[in-house]
Amino acid sequence: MRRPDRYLAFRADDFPPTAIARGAGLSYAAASFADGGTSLSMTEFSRIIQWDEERALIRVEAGIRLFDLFRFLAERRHFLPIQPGHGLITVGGCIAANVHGKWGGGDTTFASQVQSLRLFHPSHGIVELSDTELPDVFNLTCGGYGLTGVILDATLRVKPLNSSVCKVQFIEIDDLDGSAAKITEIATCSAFLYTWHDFSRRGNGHAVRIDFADEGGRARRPLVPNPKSPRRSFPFCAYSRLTISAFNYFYQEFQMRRRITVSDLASTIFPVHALQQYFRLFGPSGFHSYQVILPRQAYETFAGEVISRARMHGTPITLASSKVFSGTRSMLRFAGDGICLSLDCPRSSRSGAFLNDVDALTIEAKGWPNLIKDSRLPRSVVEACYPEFDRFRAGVRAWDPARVFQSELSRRLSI
Amino acid sequence: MRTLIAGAGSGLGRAIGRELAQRGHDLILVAGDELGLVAEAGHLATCFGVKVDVLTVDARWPEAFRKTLAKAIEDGDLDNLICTIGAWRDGDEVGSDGRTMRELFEINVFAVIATVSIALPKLRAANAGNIVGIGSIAAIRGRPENVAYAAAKRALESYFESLIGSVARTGICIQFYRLGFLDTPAANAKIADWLKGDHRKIAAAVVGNFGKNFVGRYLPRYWRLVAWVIAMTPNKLFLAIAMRHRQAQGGKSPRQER
Repeated sequence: MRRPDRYLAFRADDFPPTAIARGAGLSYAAASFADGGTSLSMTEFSRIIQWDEERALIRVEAGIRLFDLFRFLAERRHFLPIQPGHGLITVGGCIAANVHGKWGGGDTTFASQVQSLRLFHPSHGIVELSDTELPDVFNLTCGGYGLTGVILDATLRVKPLNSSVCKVQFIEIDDLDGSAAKITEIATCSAFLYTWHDFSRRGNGHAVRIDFADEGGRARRPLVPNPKSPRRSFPFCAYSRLTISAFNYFYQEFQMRRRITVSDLASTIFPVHALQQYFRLFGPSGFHSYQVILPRQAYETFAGEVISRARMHGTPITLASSKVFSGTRSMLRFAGDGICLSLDCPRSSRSGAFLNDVDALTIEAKGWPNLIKDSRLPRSVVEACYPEFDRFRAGVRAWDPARVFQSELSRRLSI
Repeated sequence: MRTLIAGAGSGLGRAIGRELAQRGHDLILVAGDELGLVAEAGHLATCFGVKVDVLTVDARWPEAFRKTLAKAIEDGDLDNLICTIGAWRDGDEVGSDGRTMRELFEINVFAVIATVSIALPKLRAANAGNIVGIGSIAAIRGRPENVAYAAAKRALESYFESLIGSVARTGICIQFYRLGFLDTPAANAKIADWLKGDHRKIAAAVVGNFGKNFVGRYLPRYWRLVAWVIAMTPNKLFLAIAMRHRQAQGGKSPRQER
């Protein structure tokens, strides 16, 4: 791995034959692993180059962490509405994976906030990309998993922030039946929304509706992530069907008693900071994450099928959560209209078969899985679920015929 | 206050720039990476509201370097001078070609001396200011590698010893550090992480020492002990460790410049 700290490193004559850019290295899908090539860590490129308050535009280098950007913007009463739940993720990574957050309105993916960006490719040099400049390459790069080159910086559209305090409401979902309509309805009138489901039972749970509140509300201080904290795991997997079932029961009871609470915006946007113990408890074997966008009408049947397949395979589902998605599908971007369902389960001998079943269910339901969440996702599933797979592959090969930019992900999918 | 940092493009120079900007200093940033300097200037101006000028110049070309610097220093005020400029090369060994040797001396010694010579009249006229030079732990004891680099840093230390004498009884203060390994990309995989100093803390220490006079202070401070061990190790053992370290590095490392 190289960790360049100056732009002089981005020259055709001194560039490795195969490479892939790396942001925080937090992707579940080894998207920054350059098997046999060079990973280029972009963490030294983390500057705020320009702030235009009047036009609500900010130009930042690709290696800046979301939490640092959040702090800068919050001090200036602005924020980036769409960002993933972990504040150590970099802006470059967010663009490359076209991530999403819990934002409920309009296009819900990160690419919708990108006005322009600069990209380095040894054959093309440093190029400016936007909707008007090299729009095809811009489209390939946003959600292109780093395969078009190294994103150097980006200009992002931000929104004014009236309050950094949030009112959080927990709304009961009795059953999976009717849940799609219910969460879609709540999403239309809330700033952020996600749901939590107990998949060890029948999929009941609650929706978490988040709205901005008056500044006067009392909120906890946000947890600040420590990038140097060791990622030690528990000596064994603490999750079984029994422990998950018991935990889910008490968690649902606890949230239903709280009903309404107040939180700061940072904790709302970056909930993963408070979940480090959750990940450690998976033990040394780790876990699988699966995320899929489903057509609204297919959501409830799909979720019900997942519950019964998990029982059949004896796989405990430690997390089941949904969000409402909207936007346009393009290339390999995880975007589009529907409901996004996220699942976590411990990695074991049985979990592979369970996820193969979930793949089949996804294809049957005409859903599409998130490439950046699943290190196992086979090419056949991606081809079946993404109609523009071949177009993306051809586009990448036309822009980068020597295939300089490759990763474990691109090799697995033969892009 | 206006401070010139020669070698501001990365590592310690960049960190000192941020430390000074945080304290409200206007800056002149000098380095060879134009895009990097523009980004850094934008960052400092945006985050700290200071005025930042940039000079893109390559220290390997002495004439251009001197001319550009002289013009920039002539044009405005100058209160402090930080010389973090420096470089090392693969293949810097006994018997290596003269070009590498000359280039390393040009960057590590003559570029610094030129910068000081250009800035000194302005500081003398104001009878105030600080000049900071950066040496290296490598200059403590010669090894079979980094030959010209170590020799250049030792020469630079000698120059700063002379400098401190020549500005005695003026308001100008001189600080010269022997730098250990820092947690910057330049030291990537060269040494165990726990031995590396936090470059932000080092930058704060450098700025905190403004107003003092010394040559040869170790940063991070615990490298003083490492330096003592290096100096006291018997020659045979020292060379054996140096060779082993070199082999562990694979004999080669990417070209690095500060």
